[in-house]
Amino acid sequence: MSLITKRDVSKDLFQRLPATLELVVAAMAIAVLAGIPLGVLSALHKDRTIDQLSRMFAFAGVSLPRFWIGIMFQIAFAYSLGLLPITGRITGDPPTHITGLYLLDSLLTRDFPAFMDSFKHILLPSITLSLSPLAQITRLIRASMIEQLRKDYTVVSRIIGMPENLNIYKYMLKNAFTATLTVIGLLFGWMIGNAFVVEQVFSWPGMARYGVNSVLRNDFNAVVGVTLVIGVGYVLINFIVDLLYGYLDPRIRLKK
Amino acid sequence: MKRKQKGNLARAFYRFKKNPLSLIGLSIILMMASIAIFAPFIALYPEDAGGAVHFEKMFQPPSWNHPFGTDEVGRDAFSRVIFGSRISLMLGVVVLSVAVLIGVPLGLFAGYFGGKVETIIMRITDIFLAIPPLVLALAVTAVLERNLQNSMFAIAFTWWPWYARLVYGETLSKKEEDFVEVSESLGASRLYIIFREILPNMTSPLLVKITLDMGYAILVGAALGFLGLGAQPPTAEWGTLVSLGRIHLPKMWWLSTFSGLAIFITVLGFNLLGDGLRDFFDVEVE
Repeated sequence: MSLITKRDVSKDLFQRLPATLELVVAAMAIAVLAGIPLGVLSALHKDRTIDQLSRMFAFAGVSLPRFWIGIMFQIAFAYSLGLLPITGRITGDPPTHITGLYLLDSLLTRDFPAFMDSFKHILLPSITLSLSPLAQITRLIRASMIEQLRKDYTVVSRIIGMPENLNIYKYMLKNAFTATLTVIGLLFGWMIGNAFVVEQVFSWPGMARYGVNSVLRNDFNAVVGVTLVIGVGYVLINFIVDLLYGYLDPRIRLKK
Repeated sequence: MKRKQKGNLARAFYRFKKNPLSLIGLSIILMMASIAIFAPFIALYPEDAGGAVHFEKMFQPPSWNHPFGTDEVGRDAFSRVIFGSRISLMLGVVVLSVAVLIGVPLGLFAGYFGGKVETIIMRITDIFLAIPPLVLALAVTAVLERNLQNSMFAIAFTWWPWYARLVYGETLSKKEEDFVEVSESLGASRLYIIFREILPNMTSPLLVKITLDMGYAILVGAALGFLGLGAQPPTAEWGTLVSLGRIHLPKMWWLSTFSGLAIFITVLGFNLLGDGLRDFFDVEVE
């Protein structure tokens, strides 16, 4: 029970959990989908212009204060250009409640205007949240791809004339990605932490914002609830990562 | 012997020079440190760092008199950003000193003694590591009064386990080395071996991690300030400044922009230097 609102903390939490989940998953999707090609590109063009640019980008990505870059995005894309909404998850009513993830719900109910609208809303916050993980994933993929480039099997497949793209994306990337996986698990924790800041900037009605407001109101029960849910979620994510390891690497799967 | 030493130094210097980014990082840090030290002389209106009020010149856009503009009570934003450097750098130094002073001995003891000591220390460390740092820091500030000291305490509280784990791993590999065995057979005390034989052999990974973490700690401190859980107004702290300026968006864009930029440049400096040092010492630190 909350000390201030006298409402059930768990009910409040689960009502807000999907919003945070949606934000974090979207941000992670951006980080992984953009980070892998960027990392592969800079590994293949090591020390050339592309690599130098991605290195600059990586340094900037980990050094930018999340709340500040979020505000800068708001000034640029929302206030000045008027392209994207400033805050919130959706204009008007949310789509029919199925999972609580607006993007998924609107797709399931074939409500395309709602989908586009929530897509526009999630764009800025998720990009803001994804920048630092994106930078870290890029660097990691680059480092492990460079390692793979030196391996014997790469040289052999080149000699026997295997198409370069098949070689890169099917064999080398699979090996390179295993090393990145652990870090992705850890980055989820980082993202949940920084979701607190990003949700505040974009008035995203998620669990993290609820947590911050509870701290500000000295609502101790609610704070404990938020911390507990996040701790459990973090452990779960790392458990899933361990399972994925086995899927990607047969040596681990078959080891007793 | 002497020639070899010179060769090593020359090679190290060559490696350091080859990475211009780390030199840029070092200059940024030196610049920020001197700004922090000489803040009263650099700031145009040093009295504005606190709670001064000049309503006659509120919300002025950037100009020669006020390079970063003025805020909602007419204080010079430039002077406030300059004084903010003191708080952020101090926060970084305090947080990391506490984290190192707690984490390093614990990691050394756990690694060297093994057995029960190891189990107790490392399981406690694991518990701390199971919760994302910013979340734990938030939870700690929830029970404390909100001010700068407590936010530093909260961050340091979440930070030491990382050092305990790093040092623990290093100790495990170092204690198998011959020089430790020699000291043991010569009858050196355990504390002597831990602090004088093992610890000096892990200075480079520690140094790299501390440099990289300075930037990260400053970011976390600014985030707490931004959320209103760190330094309280009218203290000029960078994160607090960004959040105060945010209320007046989009018209008074200069308030948030410049204080955030200051955080970015400082953190960038530590990251560049840390990365350069990592190549320089050739160590792996996560």
